[in-house]
Amino acid sequence: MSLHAATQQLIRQVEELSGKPVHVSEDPGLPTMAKMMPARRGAPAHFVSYRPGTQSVDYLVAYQLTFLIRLYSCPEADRKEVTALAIEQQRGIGEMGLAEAPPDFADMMFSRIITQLRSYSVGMRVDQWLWNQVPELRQQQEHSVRAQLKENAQALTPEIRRQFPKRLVDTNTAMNAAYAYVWSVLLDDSRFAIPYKALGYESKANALLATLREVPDAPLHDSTLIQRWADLLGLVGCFHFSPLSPE
Amino acid sequence: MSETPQEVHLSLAEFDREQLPLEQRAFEGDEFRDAVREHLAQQFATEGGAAEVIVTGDRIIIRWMDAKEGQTLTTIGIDYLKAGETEKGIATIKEALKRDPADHKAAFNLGMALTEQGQYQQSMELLERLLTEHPGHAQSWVALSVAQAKLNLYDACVRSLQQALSLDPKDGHAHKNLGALLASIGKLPDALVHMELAVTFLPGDVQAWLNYAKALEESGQSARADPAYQKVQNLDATGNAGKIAEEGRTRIAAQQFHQQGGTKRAIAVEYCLSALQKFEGMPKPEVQKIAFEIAMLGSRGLDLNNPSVQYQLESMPGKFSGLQLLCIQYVGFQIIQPSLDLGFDLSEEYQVALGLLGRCKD
Repeated sequence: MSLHAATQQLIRQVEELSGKPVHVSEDPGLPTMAKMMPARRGAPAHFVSYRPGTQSVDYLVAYQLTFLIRLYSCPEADRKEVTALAIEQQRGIGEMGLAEAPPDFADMMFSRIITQLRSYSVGMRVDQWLWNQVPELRQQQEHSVRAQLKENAQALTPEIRRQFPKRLVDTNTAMNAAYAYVWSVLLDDSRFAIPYKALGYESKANALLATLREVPDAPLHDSTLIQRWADLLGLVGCFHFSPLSPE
Repeated sequence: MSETPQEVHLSLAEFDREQLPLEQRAFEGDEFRDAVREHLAQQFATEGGAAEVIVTGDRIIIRWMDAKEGQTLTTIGIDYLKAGETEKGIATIKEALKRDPADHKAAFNLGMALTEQGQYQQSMELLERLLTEHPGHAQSWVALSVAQAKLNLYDACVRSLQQALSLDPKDGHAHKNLGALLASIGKLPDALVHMELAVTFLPGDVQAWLNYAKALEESGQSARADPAYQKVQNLDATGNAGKIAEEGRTRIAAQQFHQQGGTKRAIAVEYCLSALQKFEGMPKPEVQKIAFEIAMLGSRGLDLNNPSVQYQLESMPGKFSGLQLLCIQYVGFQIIQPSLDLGFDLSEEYQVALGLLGRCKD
């Protein structure tokens, strides 16, 4: 599939910043709509994959590429990734109320919430930048975001929430609420936020969004942003930042 | 509507009571459920589009339509109005105006919707404000005139319509409204000028044609009124306007018939006599069948002035002129329901025919 010129421009930008090529491919086995693996540990390229049949491919690829642009815009010493030691993971599992859950399930849930922490906080910077700077993809972005908002709203269903510990549910919902509030403004449709407000997540969402204003926008401060969210969500001490793995 | 449905389910037990007004926070049972439903419905209404909120024993279900990408709030509201969901449309457009008070499209559509809802004063004030900033928007002058007319502000209404026509002389709706207004205050010659232009620019508008036909008839121009009524019948064969047009045509035919007098009236007497003889001894249900069939035929219009135009009935053999059928129908209804006003007075001809029938028997 040929990518939009704007996406190709982003690919070139990543390649110039990182010195490594970007390889975009389909992956039918992908559990999410798109995935990115930065070039590290000797990998010859950055791999961005997307699920075949996914709509808004250009936006999804561009979203992943913009994460890479932010990462490689930082001086090499400041390129950090989120990782968790076993002790941090155990702490996180406890904080999320997963201590009594089967270990594999608890590990998976912890991993997901840390991924959401990183991708939603910095992801809002990424989305905002794409919205403003790459209007060519705005229609795809809007389509994809609306689908995400709808999917997130389904997670409010009582049957789903009952399946998980309350602390995990609250952490996930608070981030989803922040996402809904941000897009309520950009899409000029406040209705997306109302269900979260009804369940009492407005103040937590606003606190998360306040960090986006308080922490400088530059990529260098992305780790600070993630940490501020972790503080608000009860995930302190559940992960740490380590230098991007050497090649 | 270009929308996609959204549905969200929430646990009622998880609802944040602090969202409710202080006096409602301790509510329980149905009282609590009602408060939650009203609160959420209100939230949606003020946040850009109404939603259906259902609160069951333990669950809140919210359904709403999510506009597809690229649709503005104003467009969504207009779509609601077009779909007949006026309250949702008004709430949505009000929200659009709140966000952008300069959105003249929103103001115009809200003004019209308020008028439809009977909120004439609000509509007038809104449209007057709009026209202060956009005096060149002809359609808004027309919309304003409708609200003014409803408030009996006829002079202002005429001025608004004249303003609309000075901006757009081909605005059929402005001609139509101005014509109707002038006719209502007795200025028929002026009204007819605008009504004629209205049907020129709105050739498919039933009401414009009906106004025009009535005004022509009222001003004594029956020959021109009849084809205008006929146009109404063609456009609205089964509706109320069509019925009014049929009555109008019958009136005109009767008038012409009585004006012509002489030979034609003598012919009518002959037809009535023939009908009386035909119906003599006939059971009433059969008479009724014939009379009703003629009435049905007449609803599509009978040509009373041209005897070469012939009609056939299923209930009675032979070929008949329009006047002949009318006479048969008149006599038939005198037998089955004499109190019914058919709109075409043949009572004199009928009485003469009755007299002649008596003499024939003698």
